[in-house]
Amino acid sequence: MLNYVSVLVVEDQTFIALDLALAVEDAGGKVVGPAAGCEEAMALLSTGIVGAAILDVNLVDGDCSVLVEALLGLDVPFMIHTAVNLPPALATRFSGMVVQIKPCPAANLVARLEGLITGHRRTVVLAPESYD
Amino acid sequence: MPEATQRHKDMVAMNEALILSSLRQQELVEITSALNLSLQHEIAVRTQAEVTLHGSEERYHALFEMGPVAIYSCDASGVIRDFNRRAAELWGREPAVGDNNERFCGAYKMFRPDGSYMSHEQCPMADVLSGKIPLARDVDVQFEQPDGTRITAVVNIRPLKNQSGEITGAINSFLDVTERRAEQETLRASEARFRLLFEFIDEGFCTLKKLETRAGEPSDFRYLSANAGFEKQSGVSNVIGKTIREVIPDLAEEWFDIYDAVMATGKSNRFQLDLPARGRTLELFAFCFDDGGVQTLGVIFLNVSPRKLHEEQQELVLKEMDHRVKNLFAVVGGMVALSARSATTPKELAQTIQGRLGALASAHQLVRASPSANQAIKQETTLGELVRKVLSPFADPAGTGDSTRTEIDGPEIAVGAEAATNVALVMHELATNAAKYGALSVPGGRVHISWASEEGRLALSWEEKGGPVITGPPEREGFGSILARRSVSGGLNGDLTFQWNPTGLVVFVSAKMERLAL
Repeated sequence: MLNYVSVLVVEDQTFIALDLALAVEDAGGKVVGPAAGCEEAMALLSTGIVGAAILDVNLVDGDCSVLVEALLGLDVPFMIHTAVNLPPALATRFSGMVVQIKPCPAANLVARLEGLITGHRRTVVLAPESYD
Repeated sequence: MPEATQRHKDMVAMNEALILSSLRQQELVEITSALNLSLQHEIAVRTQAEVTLHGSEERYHALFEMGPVAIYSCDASGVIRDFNRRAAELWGREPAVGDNNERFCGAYKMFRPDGSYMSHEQCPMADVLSGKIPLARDVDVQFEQPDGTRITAVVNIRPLKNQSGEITGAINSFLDVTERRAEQETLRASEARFRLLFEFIDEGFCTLKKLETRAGEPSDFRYLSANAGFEKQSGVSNVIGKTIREVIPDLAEEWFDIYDAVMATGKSNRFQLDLPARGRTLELFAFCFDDGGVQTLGVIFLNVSPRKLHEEQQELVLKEMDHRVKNLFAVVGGMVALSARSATTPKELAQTIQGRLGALASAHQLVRASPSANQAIKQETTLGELVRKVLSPFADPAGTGDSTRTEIDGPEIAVGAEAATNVALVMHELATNAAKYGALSVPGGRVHISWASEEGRLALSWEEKGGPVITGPPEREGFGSILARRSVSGGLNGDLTFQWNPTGLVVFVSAKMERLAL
């Protein structure tokens, strides 16, 4: 169970966003969002406490790189939920990200997220050039 | 003086005279004998000469009759004096020798090489006899035989002159070159065809000659010829006479290595290389051939940049398609899961899903692919088209012919592929709600949809009239409304406001115009 963990849902497809949000609630979590783009998600990140996140890659205002960076900075566990393979730029910059390929039942995705939160440790490493 | 003395004197004188006379006689005999010898020699020589002359004449006659060359001669007036067998064969007839009406040539009819008719008085023999030309050397003449056969002959005519230099006649020797000329014509025509082909093909074509270089010096090639396609395909003009390095100074060494290998091995090579100076990629075929004893390099090539670009675009479209299909499965998965949450019966679930799928399908059907300037895939429809399409199942569901139940009114605004899905969902959810509880649930009810754009935002209103009287907002927001609100706030960066007026529901939708175009 998610035990009231706040989960940021970032997804621009309405059906998927609502489905994920309800699945998070079903698992006992609290939904932050859903956000359809980076700007909206960054605003939510800055105003509230987020314990975990589910990110779609292609959002209304670009790919989710900026969110990945922010979540890594905050040491928040997150999952990438995408229909495409990661864009090469994103895949080379960040290694070890947890990726779930769409389509996938929302309940399964949330169950995976639970496991990720439980065993959370820094598994994602920033590439050295990102420290400049 | 004594008589005896005188006598003696006379005797001596007589004796002397006698001696002298006998001496003369001796001389005469010797002269006569010499003359005789000389005469005899002369006769012998002359006899010998006559024999030689006869043999020579015989030989010449055999040659004249049997040789492969046609020969005839004319007198100064052009009358034919004699001709050989071969001449008669080529003419296809035998002219009457010595006939004043058969002059200059024994041919039935004559033509110039260009095919124009030539009378006997205009033929080269007439010109030589008149002194108009000193002689005829290798002149082409066409004969027509009485049966119509055409013969092409190459003619050589030499005048005969007497000791004072007057023309007394002429000899014409001519050869049948009909086959040779036909072969040459075939060759010329075939060459012309190939030249035409190379001039007009889209492919670039050029021939090159390798320059003599010292060991260690970079190799280079001089352009001998180039067709019109050369410039079109390479973007480089006026190359003939110049070398590759002169024309394209920064060309990769790989080109020269390949050309050198083709020249060295004689093995043709098909390859693809970039021409960075002209921003294109060429597909080339290089081969080596012998052009009149000179080893020459031939290159046929095509600019494949447009094809590569097309392939890349296709690849992009395929990737995009793959992405969309996967995404669609995810969307439908979410839709089914969501719809199942609020449906009370399987039938209701099926209807809800079908309605929502229909709205997505409408959006998808309207966004068509059109290549845009930045080569990305851009698809768009217009707001009016999209609204009309999504509402069409609700406009006249009972088939009463009352097609004015939905009034749609607004300027044409472009809607992109991403936004179209959201707009379709909003319209679908609002219409579904109206059909269940609002203006579209009773006969005579109407929905008026209108919109305008201002300051980068779209303002759309949905007004229901003639439906059941509304007493107030519903106690709990239905799932359809949540979906509609989510579609507007998330996908269109706008908001959705409900006004539950007693005369009917009014919904205001605002959206960011730039989101609408996505």
